[in-house]
Amino acid sequence: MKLALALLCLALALVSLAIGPVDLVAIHARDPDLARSLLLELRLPRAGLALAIGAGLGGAGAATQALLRNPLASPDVLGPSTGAALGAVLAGYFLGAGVIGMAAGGIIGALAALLLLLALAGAGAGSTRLVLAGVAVATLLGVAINLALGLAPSPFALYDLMTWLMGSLADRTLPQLLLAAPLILAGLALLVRAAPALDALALGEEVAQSLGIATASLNRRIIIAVALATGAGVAVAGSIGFIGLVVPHIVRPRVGHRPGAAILPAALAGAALLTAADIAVRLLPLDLKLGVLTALLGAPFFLWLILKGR
Amino acid sequence: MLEAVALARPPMLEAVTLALQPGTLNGVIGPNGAGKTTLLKALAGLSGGPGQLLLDGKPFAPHPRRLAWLPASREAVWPMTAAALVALGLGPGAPPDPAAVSAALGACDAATLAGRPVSQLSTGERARVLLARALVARPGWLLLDEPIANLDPGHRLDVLALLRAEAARGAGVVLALHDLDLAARCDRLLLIDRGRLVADGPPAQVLSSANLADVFGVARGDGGWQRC
Amino acid sequence: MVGFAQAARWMLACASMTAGDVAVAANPARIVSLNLCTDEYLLLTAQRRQISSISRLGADPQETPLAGRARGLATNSGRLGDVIGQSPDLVLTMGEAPQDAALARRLGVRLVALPYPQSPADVAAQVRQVAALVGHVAAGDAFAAEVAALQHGVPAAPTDALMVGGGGLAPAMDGLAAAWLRLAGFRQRQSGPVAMEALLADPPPVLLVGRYRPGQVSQPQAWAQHPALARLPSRRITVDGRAFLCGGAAMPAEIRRLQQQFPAEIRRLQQKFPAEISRLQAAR
Repeated sequence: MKLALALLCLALALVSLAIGPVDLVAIHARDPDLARSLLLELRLPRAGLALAIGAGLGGAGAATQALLRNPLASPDVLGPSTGAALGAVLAGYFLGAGVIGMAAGGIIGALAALLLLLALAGAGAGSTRLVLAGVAVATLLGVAINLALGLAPSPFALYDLMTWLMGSLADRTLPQLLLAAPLILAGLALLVRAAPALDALALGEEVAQSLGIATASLNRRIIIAVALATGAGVAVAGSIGFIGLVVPHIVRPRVGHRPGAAILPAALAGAALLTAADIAVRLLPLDLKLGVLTALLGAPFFLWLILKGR
Repeated sequence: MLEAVALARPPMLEAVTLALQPGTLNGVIGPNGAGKTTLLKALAGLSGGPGQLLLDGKPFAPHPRRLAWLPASREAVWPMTAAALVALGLGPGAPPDPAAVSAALGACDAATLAGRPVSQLSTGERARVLLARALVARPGWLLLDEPIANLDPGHRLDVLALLRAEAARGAGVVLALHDLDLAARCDRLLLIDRGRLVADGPPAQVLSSANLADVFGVARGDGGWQRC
Repeated sequence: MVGFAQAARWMLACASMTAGDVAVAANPARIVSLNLCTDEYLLLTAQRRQISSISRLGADPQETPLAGRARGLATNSGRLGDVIGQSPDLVLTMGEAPQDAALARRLGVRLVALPYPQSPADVAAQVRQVAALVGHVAAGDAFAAEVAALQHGVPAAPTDALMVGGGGLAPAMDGLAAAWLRLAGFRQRQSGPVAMEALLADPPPVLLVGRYRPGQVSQPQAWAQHPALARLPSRRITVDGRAFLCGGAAMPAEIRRLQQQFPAEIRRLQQKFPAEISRLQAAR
C-alpha cells in the first residue's frame, strides 16, 4: 500500500506542477528563463508544500490518535497549530520580521505551545490530562491571537486572521518550502521511529510500561515531533484542518488497525489528499480557501465516523 | 525471586516486605478497596513510591521477558485481530513469532478467535485473548489483576489450571482474586485489609475462620458461605 | 470634468444627511471627527482651536501624512458614544452608521456622515463642504484649485501601469485610486486579485506598490516581497500607501510628486517599453 500511495503522491505532484494561470509550455518557447523561474519560484513551492504539509498532518494525526488512544483525536487538540499562528502574527506585526521571520516565529510558537502544554499537564501525564491541558492551551493561545491582532492597528489584521484560520498555499515562496519541509520531515522521522512503541500503547499505558516503554518520555517525544510536523506547516500556510483527523481512518484498516503502523501510510495519504485538495482549489470555479475545502470534505466524514461509532 | 523491601504506596498501602518464589502460584485476596491492585502494581514496578523492588537481587527494570502485567480492565480501543493484539505482547520491535502467538491463544482456549476483531468479542472472550497476550513472551513473572473476573465457571478452572502449568514451567505467578474457593488452590495467599498485609502463608492458615470473619465478615458452613 | 456635475448633485444629497441646521450663526468650536478620512479633511480646513478631538488614526503618522498637523490634539476611539462627553457641536464621520445617526438624533448632536468619494472631484467637493461647515470656505476653494491644477500636469498619453495593494489585490480600474493615478499619467490595467504568474508572464511597464507600515509584515504585505517578483522587469515605483488609505485630502501632494518625478521617464517608457523587453531578452 505504501508504494501505491507514494506513486499517487508523485502523480498528483506532477499534476499540481502542471496547473497554473499561465501556459508554461508556451512561456518556455519564448522565454525559457522565465518559465524556469515560474516553475521553481511559484509552482514548486506550492506543490512541495502541499506534499510536505499534508504528510505532516497525516502522520501527526495518526500519532496523536495512537498516543491518546482515541480515534477522534487530532493534532489541533494539543495546541501547536494555535501556537504557530500566534508566533507568526507576533513576529510579523510586532517584530517586523519578514516572511521567513514569520515562518520561524510560527515554529517557535508551536514549540512554545508544547512547552506550555507539558508544564500544565505535568511530567508524567497520561492521555486524559494531556487532552485537557491541550484544550486549555489552544483556547488561551486563541484568545492571545485575537488580542494581538486587536492591538496591531492595521487594516490587514482581519484579512490575516481569516488567512490563518482558513489556510492557503497560494503564492508561497521557495525559502518557505526549504524552511518548512526539513522540519516536517524531522518530525515525521521521530514519529515513524516511535511507531512500535505506539502500537504497544494500544494495550494501555500500564501494559506498555511493563513491556519496557517509558511512557512519560514517549509522551514528550511524540508531542515535540507533532509540534515539528504540524507547526512548521501552519506557520507557512495557516490552519488546515481535518486531514489529520480523517486520513488515519482511511489507512488504519489496511495495517491491521495497529495505530503506530498507520503513521507512515497516513503521512503518504495525507500528502496525496492535500495535494489533490490544492489542485481542486485551483480548478474549481469558486474562490475557496484550502482549509475551507478540507473542512467541507472532512466535516461530513467526521459526522459519519461519530454516527458509525454509536 | 521477586522481593519487596519496605514497599509502600501511601495512603493506599502501608509498607510491605516479602519475597516471592518462582514456580509458585500466589494469590492476593482482600475486600474491595483493600489495596490489592495497589500492591500488585507496586510489585509489577508500575508505580513510584517508597521502598525497593528487587528481581533476583537487582533493582527491577521492566522487560517483556522478565514480567508481564495484566490489568483488570478489558477495554480494547482498536479493532485489531486477536492474533495482532497477542503479538504486541512480544514487545515493541521484537521479531514476529506466529508460533508463539498460536501457542498462547491455544493455551487460553482462544485459538478460534485468532482472526476476529477484539472489539467485537464478548467480555469473556476478550479476557482470554488478553491473557494470551500476557503469556506470549513466556515471561519469568506473571502479575494478573483479577484474571478470572468475567469468566464462566468452566473457564475459571481452565485459567487456574493454565496458571498452575505456567508455575510448573518455572514462572512465578501472582494474581488478585475474589473467589475464595479458587484461592484455596494457590500455594501461598496474601491477605490485604485496609492497606495492610494482615496474613501471609498457605491457604489453610490464611483462610482461617478468624480471618474470614474479621476481614470479610463471612463464615464457611455446611450450606456454603454465610454472613456472620 | 465629468465629476463636477456629479459632485454638485452629490453635495445636495450630503446636505440632506446632516442632522440640524447647515447655516449657523457662529462657526463650530467643538468639532469632533470619528474617521481617518474626515480627520484629514478637518486638519486641512479647520483651525486648531475649533477641533475638540480627531480619531487616533488621524494623529498616527503611520496612517496619514497629515499627522504632523495633529500634534497636541486630543484623540478619540472613533465611536460616537465615547465623544458625547465632549459636547461636540459638530461630529464628522464617513460611511453609513444607522445606529450612530439614530443616537445623534436622540441626543440632539449634529452628525454629518459623508459618503465614500468615488473620484477626485468628489474629494474636492467634500473638502469644500467640510470647509463650509467649519467656516473657512477659502480652505476648500484652495484645495479644489489644487486638484484642478493637477489636471494641467497630466501627461498626454497615459502609461500602462498596475497598482497592487495588500495580498496581491489591484484597486478597481474605475475606482477612486485609479482615478487619482490617471491624473499622474498611469492607467490601471487590471482590477481584483493579481495572479503572480500572469504578472510575470505579461509585466506592466510600471508597477506601483504602496508603502505602508514598513516595520510590520503580515501575510497580505508579504505578497509584494515574493522572491519571484525580483526578476520583474517593470519599473517599480513606491507610492505613499498612507495617502491611498483614504484617497482623499493627502492625495494631491502625492500625485504632484509623481507628476514631477517621473514625467520624462514615463514618456520614455511609453515609447520604449516593448523594445526594453526584447533588449532584456536578447541580453540573456
